[in-house]
Amino acid sequence: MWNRNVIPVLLMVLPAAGLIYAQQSAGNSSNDASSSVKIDLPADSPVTLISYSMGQTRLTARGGAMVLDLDMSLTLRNNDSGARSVRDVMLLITAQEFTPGGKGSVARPSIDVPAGQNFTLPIKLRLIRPVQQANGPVRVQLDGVLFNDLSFYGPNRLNSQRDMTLWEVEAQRDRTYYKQILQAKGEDGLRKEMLNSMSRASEHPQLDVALSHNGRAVGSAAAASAGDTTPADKVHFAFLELPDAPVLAVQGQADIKGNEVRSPWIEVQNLDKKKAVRYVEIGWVVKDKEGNEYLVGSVPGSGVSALNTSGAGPGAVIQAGQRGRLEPDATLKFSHAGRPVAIDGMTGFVSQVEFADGKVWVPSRKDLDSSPLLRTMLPSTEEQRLLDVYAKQGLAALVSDLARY
Amino acid sequence: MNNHPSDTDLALLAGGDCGRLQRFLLNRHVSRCGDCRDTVASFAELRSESLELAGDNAMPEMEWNQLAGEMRANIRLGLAAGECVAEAPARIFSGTWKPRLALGAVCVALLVGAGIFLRGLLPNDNPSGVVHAATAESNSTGVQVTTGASSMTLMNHAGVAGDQTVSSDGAIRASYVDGETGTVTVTSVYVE
Repeated sequence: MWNRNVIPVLLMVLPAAGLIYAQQSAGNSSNDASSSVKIDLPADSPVTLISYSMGQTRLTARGGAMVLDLDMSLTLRNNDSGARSVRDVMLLITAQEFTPGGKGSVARPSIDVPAGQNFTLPIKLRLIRPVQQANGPVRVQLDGVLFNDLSFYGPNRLNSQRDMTLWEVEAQRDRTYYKQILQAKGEDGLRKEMLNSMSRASEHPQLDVALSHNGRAVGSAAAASAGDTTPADKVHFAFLELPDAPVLAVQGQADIKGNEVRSPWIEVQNLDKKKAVRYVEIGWVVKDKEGNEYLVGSVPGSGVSALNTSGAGPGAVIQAGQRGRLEPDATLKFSHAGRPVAIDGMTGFVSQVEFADGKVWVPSRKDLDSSPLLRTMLPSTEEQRLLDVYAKQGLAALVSDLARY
Repeated sequence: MNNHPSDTDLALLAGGDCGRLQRFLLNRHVSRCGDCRDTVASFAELRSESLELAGDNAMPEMEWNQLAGEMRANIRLGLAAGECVAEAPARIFSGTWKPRLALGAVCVALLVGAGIFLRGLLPNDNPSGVVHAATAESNSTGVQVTTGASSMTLMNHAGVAGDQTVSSDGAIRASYVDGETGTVTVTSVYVE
């Protein structure tokens, strides 16, 4: 009798026990968050990993998804044999099992780390994947290091050399500007200028942006766009001309529908008489229906398609005096506080140029002061840092910082 | 008034979604209790605001009681039909112990259980065969790249808001000053 009663119970209990045991095993292996991260620096890297901490890293289940929060801090050392100071570092972050087709980077610009000294780099990351999806490691790799003499080391997969060189040139411009203010107008003049800059920096209204490449929308987004037959308006860019810019924005257009901007293109002309241009970036200011203006970003032209050549490519350049076309294959949607922001107009200006010889051009401080519209431009990373030094440590600390290099 | 109805009951009352007896009892309590009356009023106000906000997308008015009645009738009809066509239940245990049958049942149960579990463990990046494009987004907490139901967000340290900019070739970037160290960090996401 006892045997007959126990059989159904066993039938239910055994599989359940097996499931619970197996789930616990899976959970334990997943919970080892530190094994989820692989840090990979080249053997000959001038920057070496001293240590890293995982902080409050944790793995949690949320509904049908697993959420991995990584709060890492890497301590790196400048081991450069040439005794150069590190100015900028960029790390490439990939999690192919989570986001194939996407990647990230964390960079620390505007630093001055002499050879033999350590510095830290925080990586605060959140990964979300469905429970059923395979787990995989987060890879942290060095993408580039820029030194004080603008020399570069790294695989440069993210074009970090160009980004970091531009940051450094902007940093030199802004440091020189504030040093000149100090020299010409003294500490009071510097204080007034810092207050002006802080006021300007706080006036930047921010838009949230979603970006995707054209022709690849899937799921609900594709269905929504397929069902919406409203024609897009073809809106022309207005351009601000900066006196010293080596490239002129000639004309440009984008399809605008509500808060969505699709397929922007801009035609530019290389005004330099000798040097070919490899990269142009057009600062992009959008105006909403209420007349508010926002700097939302840029239309870049990496591998710009020169109009007199066939097609574009990573190595394409605009020869001296020739025209080219920046034509990123992208759709952007703008919103503010969760609400769509309808776009009414667009203005562009040449914000960055890289020549084929690796030299870069950025607008001067005089250029930036030439139009009220350029007040929407974000401060450079170095200006952000200098404003923070002044705000938190005062004028004496700022003067001391400016005197360092 | 120590025995106040729960907020759930008050919300049902405000929405007209409780039964007659319950409505009577609740109305009697609410008519004497100022706190609960205020709560019901606030629920009613919230409900009307929600309907206004929903606008044209509002749910159509439903006769819930009628719908429930129809569902109950359908269930009863199904049960009655099942009884009409059912054969006499076969006896699982005929009175004699059959170890082979029990062992077989255990094995089948284990097999089914293991199958269900292993299905959850198997890599299943793309169950529907749909190709998901990566999209990049920015918001006040950081920058994010999303592919299907998976995402990677590079968060701003200590929750500070960063200066954000988008490059239309497929990158979104945020820069912020770390309040503790005074150094600038730039986070970016890229879509291919």
